[in-house]
Amino acid sequence: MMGSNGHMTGDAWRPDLYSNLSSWGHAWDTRAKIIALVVFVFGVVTLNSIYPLMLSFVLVLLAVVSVKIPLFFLVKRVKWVLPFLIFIFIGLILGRGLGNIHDSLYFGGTVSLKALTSLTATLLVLGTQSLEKFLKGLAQIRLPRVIVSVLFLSYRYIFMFREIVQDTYRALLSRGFSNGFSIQTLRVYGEITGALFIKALDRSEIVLKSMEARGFDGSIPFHSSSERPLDAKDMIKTLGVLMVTGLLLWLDRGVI
Amino acid sequence: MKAVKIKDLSFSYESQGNNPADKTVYALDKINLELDAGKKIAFLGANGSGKTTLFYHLNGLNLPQSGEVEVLGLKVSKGIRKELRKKVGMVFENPDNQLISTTVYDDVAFGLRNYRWSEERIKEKVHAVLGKVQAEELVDSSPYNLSWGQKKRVAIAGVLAMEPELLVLDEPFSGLDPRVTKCLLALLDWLNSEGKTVIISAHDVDLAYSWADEVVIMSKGSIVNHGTPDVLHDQQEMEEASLDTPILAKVFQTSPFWPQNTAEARSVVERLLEGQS
Repeated sequence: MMGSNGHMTGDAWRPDLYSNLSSWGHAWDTRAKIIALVVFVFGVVTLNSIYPLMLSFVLVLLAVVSVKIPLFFLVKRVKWVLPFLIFIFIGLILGRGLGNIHDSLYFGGTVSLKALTSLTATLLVLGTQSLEKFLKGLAQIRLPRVIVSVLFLSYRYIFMFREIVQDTYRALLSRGFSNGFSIQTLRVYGEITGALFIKALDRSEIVLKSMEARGFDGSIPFHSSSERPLDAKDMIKTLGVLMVTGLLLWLDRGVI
Repeated sequence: MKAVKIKDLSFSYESQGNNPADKTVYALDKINLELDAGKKIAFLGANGSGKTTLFYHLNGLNLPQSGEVEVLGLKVSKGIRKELRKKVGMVFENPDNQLISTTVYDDVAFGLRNYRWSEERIKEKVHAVLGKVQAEELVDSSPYNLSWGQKKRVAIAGVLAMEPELLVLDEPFSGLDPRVTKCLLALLDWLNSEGKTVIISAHDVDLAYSWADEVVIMSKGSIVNHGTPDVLHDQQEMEEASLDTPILAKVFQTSPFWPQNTAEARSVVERLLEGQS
C-alpha cells in the first residue's frame, strides 16, 4: 500500500473496482443480494462440521469466478485475515495442548473456513455494484439511516485519512526519516499517529461544514427514485442462496 | 439592493493554548459592512485576518455571537439556515473538504438531493453545470483521484448546481495554474453577468485590483477599508494590513493615471509615448 517513496496505490484497493462488469451477480438487485448475504453468512457461521464448511467455501469461490471478479483481487483482500487465523490456530494449539492437536486443528479449520467463506461472500456482494448503490440498498432494507450515513462517511474518510498519511509520510522521508524498529523510530510512529488523528478530526469538522453548506441535515440523501422493482430473476437468485444455505445446514446437522 | 448587511458583528474562538493567561481570540471585532447585490467583491487580508470566519456567517455556518448579519434579506439565525444555504453557495478553499461522494455526478447532485429535487431535474442540472465548468468528461469519475484544478471545478459545480444568488468562494485561485485561473475568472465574470453576486477572498492583490468592483481589506478581525479597487492605492494602509500594493498602482503612483489592468496600462503608456513623439 505504501511504497518506499511514499506513494500509495490508487483505486486498486476499492471493493467495488469491478462493479461495472456484467454478470448474474451484477444484475442481481442489491436489496435482495444483501438479504441473501446476511442469511448465508449467518447460516455458515452456525455450521459445525468441516465438510459442509468446505463445500460452502468452494461454492462461494465458484460464485466469485462466475461473476468475473478476478481471483487475485479476492486473494489480495482475503490475505489480510490470514495472520489473525494463524494466531487463532496457535492459540488453540497452545491452549489445548499438543495432545489434543487434532481437535485444535479441526476447530481452527472450522473457524478459518467460516471466516474465509463469510469474507469472500461479502466481497462478492460488495464487488458487484457501486458502493453508493450498496449503501442505498442498506437504506432501502430499512437499516437505520444514521448507520448508513456513518458507513458512507467512514468510507469517505478512508480516502481523506489516506491522503493525510501519505502527506505526512512524504514529509518524514524528505527529512531523512527511514523505517525501522529503534526506540527513535517507534517514538516517531507514536507521535505521528497522534498527529494524524488530530488532523483527521480537524479535517472532518471542515468536511461537515462543507456538507452543511449544501443543506446536509444529518442523513445522506441517496437517489430519491428507487431502483427497478424486484423481478423474478432476483427472487430466484435469492431463493437459490436460501436453499443452498438450508442444504448446508441440513448436511451439517444430518449426516456429516 | 444590499446583498449583505453586517452590523456590529463580533465572533471569537475559545483560546486553544495551554497558557491560562491566553485570552479569547476575537476573529471578528465589531464588523460593520454593506455589500451591494450584483457586484464582484474581493476580500483581501493576511492569513488570520478573519475573512473565512466572516464568510462562514454568510450562510449560517457560524452564527453571530453579537451583532447582526443579514444576507439577501434574511437575518442569519438558526431557523433559516437551510433556506439561506439554498441562496448562498459557498466554495471552500480546499476542494477535498467539499468532495464527499464516490462519483462526480453524485457529488454535484448531493446538494440537490438535500433539497429533494427529482432525479430527472438533477440529471439535467448536473450535466449543465459540469458543462459550464468544463468538467463534463469527469461525470463518472471518482472525485478522489482528480487533479487539484479538476477537483476545484467539480467543487464549484456542486455549489453552482444549487442556483445560489450569492456565491462565496474562499481563495478560489489557490493552487491553480494560470490557464485554469483564467478559465475560473471567466466563469465568475459570466456568473456575475447573470446577476449573481460573487464574493471571493484572495491574497493576490493584482488579481483583485483588476477583477473586482469592490474590495474589502481586513486585518486582525476588523475592516480596514472598503470601496472600489482604488482603496488599494494606499501603500501605508496596505502594509499595515500585511498586503502589498498592486503592481500597476506602484508603477503609476506618481502619475495622474490609475489603470486597473494591463490593457489599460498599455493604453496609457502608448498615449504617453505618442504624446512624447
